[in-house]
Amino acid sequence: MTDYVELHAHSYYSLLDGASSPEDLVAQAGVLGLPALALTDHDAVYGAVAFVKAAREIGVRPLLGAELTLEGKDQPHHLTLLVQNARGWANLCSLITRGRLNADKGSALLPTQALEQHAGGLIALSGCRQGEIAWALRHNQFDTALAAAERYLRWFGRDRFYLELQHHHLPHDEMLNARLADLADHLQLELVATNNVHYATRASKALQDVLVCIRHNSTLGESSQWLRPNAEYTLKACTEMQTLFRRYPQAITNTLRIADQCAFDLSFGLQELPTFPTPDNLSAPAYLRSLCAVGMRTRRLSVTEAVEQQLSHELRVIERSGLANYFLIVWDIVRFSREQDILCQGRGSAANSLVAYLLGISPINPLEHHLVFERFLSDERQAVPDIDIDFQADRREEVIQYVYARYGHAHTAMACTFITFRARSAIRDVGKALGLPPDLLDRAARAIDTFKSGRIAEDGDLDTLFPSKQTFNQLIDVTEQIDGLPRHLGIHNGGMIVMGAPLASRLPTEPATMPERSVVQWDKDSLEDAGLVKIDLLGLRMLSAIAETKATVTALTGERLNLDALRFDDAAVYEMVSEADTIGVFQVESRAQQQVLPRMRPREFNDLIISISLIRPGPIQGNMVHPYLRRRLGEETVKYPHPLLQPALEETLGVVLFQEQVLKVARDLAGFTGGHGEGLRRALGSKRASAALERFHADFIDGAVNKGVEESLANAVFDTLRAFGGYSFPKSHAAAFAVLVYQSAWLKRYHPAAFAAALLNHQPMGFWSPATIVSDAKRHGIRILPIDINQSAAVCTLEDGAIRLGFNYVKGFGDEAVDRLLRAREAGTFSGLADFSRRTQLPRRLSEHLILSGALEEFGKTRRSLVWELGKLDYRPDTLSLDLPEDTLQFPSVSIQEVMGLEYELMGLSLRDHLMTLYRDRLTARGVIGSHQLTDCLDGEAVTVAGQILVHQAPPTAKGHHFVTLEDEDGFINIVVRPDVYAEHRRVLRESPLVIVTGVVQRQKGVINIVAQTITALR
Amino acid sequence: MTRLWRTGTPIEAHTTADGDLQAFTWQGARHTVTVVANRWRVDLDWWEQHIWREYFKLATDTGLLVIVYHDLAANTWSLQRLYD
Repeated sequence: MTDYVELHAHSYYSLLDGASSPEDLVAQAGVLGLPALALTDHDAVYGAVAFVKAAREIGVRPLLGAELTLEGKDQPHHLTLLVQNARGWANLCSLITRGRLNADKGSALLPTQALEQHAGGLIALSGCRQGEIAWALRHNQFDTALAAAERYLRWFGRDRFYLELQHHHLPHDEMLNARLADLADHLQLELVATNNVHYATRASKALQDVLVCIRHNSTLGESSQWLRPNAEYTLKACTEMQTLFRRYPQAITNTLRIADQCAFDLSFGLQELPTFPTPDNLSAPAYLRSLCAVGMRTRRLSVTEAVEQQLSHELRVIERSGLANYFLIVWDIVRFSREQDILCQGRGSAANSLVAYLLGISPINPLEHHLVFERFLSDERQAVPDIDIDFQADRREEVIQYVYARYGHAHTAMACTFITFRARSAIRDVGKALGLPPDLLDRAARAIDTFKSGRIAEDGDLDTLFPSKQTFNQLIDVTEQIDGLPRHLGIHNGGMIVMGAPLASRLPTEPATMPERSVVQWDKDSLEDAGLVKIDLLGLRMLSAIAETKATVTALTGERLNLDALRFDDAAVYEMVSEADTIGVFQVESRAQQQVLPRMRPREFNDLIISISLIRPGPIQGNMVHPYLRRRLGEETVKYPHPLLQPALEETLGVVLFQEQVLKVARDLAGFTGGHGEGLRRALGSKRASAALERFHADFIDGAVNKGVEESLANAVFDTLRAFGGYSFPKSHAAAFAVLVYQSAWLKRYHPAAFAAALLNHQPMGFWSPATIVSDAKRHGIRILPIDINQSAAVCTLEDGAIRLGFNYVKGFGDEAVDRLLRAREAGTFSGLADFSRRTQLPRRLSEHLILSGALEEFGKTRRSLVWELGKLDYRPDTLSLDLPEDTLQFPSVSIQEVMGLEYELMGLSLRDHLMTLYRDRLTARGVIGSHQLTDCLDGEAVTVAGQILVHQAPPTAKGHHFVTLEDEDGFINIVVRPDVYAEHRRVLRESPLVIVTGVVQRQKGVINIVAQTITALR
Repeated sequence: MTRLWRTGTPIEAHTTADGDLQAFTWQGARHTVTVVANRWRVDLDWWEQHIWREYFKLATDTGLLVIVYHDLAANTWSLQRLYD
């Protein structure tokens, strides 16, 4: 260990002003032998948890702090604060919160005076060249510097205020440091040396420069005023710092003194939740117990010994974990939602809990599905379980605002999330910083397949787009480094934090872009690692669609659908699903599912659970899918790696499909407890837990050998688990989702028009576009009526069994335009374009969109003549309602191709015949067959097909294979493109909407694919 | 009058084991460093013509006041500015 500690370091959580992760900083500190390291990001503690975790693992003592931005007379100033103790942490959180509230989103500006009240427990270093004192000294304002130093001295005291020296080999560093040293002499202050670190090693200098350009929306060539002139802002070794500050040795030794003054340990424990008010002063566990008893009656659950045992076991664990109050808070949210008729249901591991089922949080009785409670909560498990609840997306905000209102804005906030650089954004941002033209970057961004910016270089012929190899290499070099770095802060989808104490004293918060929302400075991983309970209130559009379908059916027929009473046993529903007639059905509509369903032929609820669990990265990577299907079809015997594993894997025919099975395998083969098994599962799913995973590996092998299992076999089983990686659904989650699969399938089967209309009204959701939902509805005999200014409503509606498209499908039509149109229509139907325009006063652009979408066809004029007429209309509101004399001009009709083009552009779909009908005669003459003819083709037969590209996927698990779904007038054609064929035909697939594919038919149990050999554009 | 060589004119540097500049030879004459008035590093323009240098503003026993730099990538020394 050395005699220097770096007390001023920025990670990439200084958002576009730091290039290294907290983990990389810590690792480099370890390499340099620094005994401790402080993280001082700009006005934030975003990286604190990851930093503390990494530092503890490596044995570097973590010090927490931040560099605050203070209001200044001439410009904002910086001040470095370090946390000494719990009081200091609370003060730092309050100061950051205050600064963030006082500035635009993404920045902070703290009134300097606020420090006076919140200096306790904090050590202040005077800051970088932008610090108030350094800035004044650099500008020869000695009195100002003196006054500022005296003020900080008054607020923080002599032992907690230091003048900060930095030396980056800049021309005036020596002079500034000499002035600071003089000031220190004058006021008897201590000096401290820091290096204002912005990256772990100088290798990240280019990345740092590019980040700064992105921050200032500028190019490298134009950013000299913001870019640091050299690469010295890196973590440095003690000897180097000692040399730089040889005139001020005390400044180096003081770094250790300050580190010793900081004894704050970020407490990882339960947060103080608000106390839920219980009736009759019952304790939280007692009230929870009584609510479960009520739940037993409402769920009509027979009180068997198994139920009683499970319930008392769960209640005991919940009480011991101190989580009864938490369950009550969640129960109350669900209660509110139900009272307001907002559909909701729990997802995720909460469905392992009988208590959650009895409270109405989850829709699944865990005992019926052999679910493992320990996957949710156990005595050994240190992390607090999240409870995730899906709400119908269109009404989720009501629930969020209920929580804010119930517990108060000072006690409630959302988790934050970090929007990170991905391939396309990285190309655009980095390319712009390098000064490349936007149209070139657009083309490059569109040409790449990968989402990971670290893999752009692998993407074929991208380099040919660029003017020089050097430019391309620079772009690739920086995009590789920028991969996954946080770009800016976002709001988590639905994670809410509620706290008994005011949040600002525990965790900084900042305003979110959405009104009435605030976010804490930790994302979900940090919250979980810090042991803070988050309640996930997620929006699920499928629940909105289900709610709307129910309402439509009730409005039209008076029938009240009770989906909760469905018994999951309708053969017609399973038949439909087995035929892959599932467009719009929750979770089983994707192309991959449509490949599996006809082979699997689900016949019961459990099959739906398995079906949605099969198409997940874990089972796919672990090679579980095909063995499962073969075994299910009797083509392969069910075998187990070891007889001990039969109980765990029997329900899935010997393969691992569910997360819970990891726990069961570890228990049965290696004697792991539930909690230990859960630890293993989390390590399998974590990218950062390789050391932890190796410890579990050793335990697993030891445990298995103790049970008499051969070591090689134990290793083989562990390798299977490793490949599985935990990227799968827990069975509980799949079971909760399967309820929605069944309900949505049931609605599609028995109320297809109402369901399709509801799907159209809650886009985007699911796998397919509205155009595909409309085509599917038409194939099922449902008429689709065009948008009509006298008939359509704001959204799609049912009209004599047909779907009438709503104004929500006209480009540019927002709520205000729709309201205006509908209000005008209350006075009577529109008699023509002139009448419509005068009464609605809609902007011409929107009226034109309506005309071109066909919404005024009932007046018997062509779209062209209506657009002409619109151009001539006097639009003033007070003009007389006199129609102009008819023109004698004759306009040709718009061709069918033009109509379809316009409809796609303005509505995202077309009601005409399918585009492919226009080409069919020509294609038939060339021997190209349609999708309906594929059923007659033999396995191995050579065919040529054609269609419009609907879906193009290249999942990372497919080893370079691409999957393309074409649509023609009769249905879908599934194309498999091998890597070599893709390389040859990449451009056609990316650039042509319509293609002709020649290939070989591959048939497998009702699933037909064409393995492509050549692909050409259809023009 | 100040003379400025935009890209520098080559000199032969004589340094200590620590890399500190002691003297340099320019146009056949040796100049020993008497005072280093300032010293700084730049690492710039990596995306165009990378400049990675350490600069010295110094006086010599021959009465020169100069700015010389050490190109850290190429390990060459140059005289950039001579104050007359």
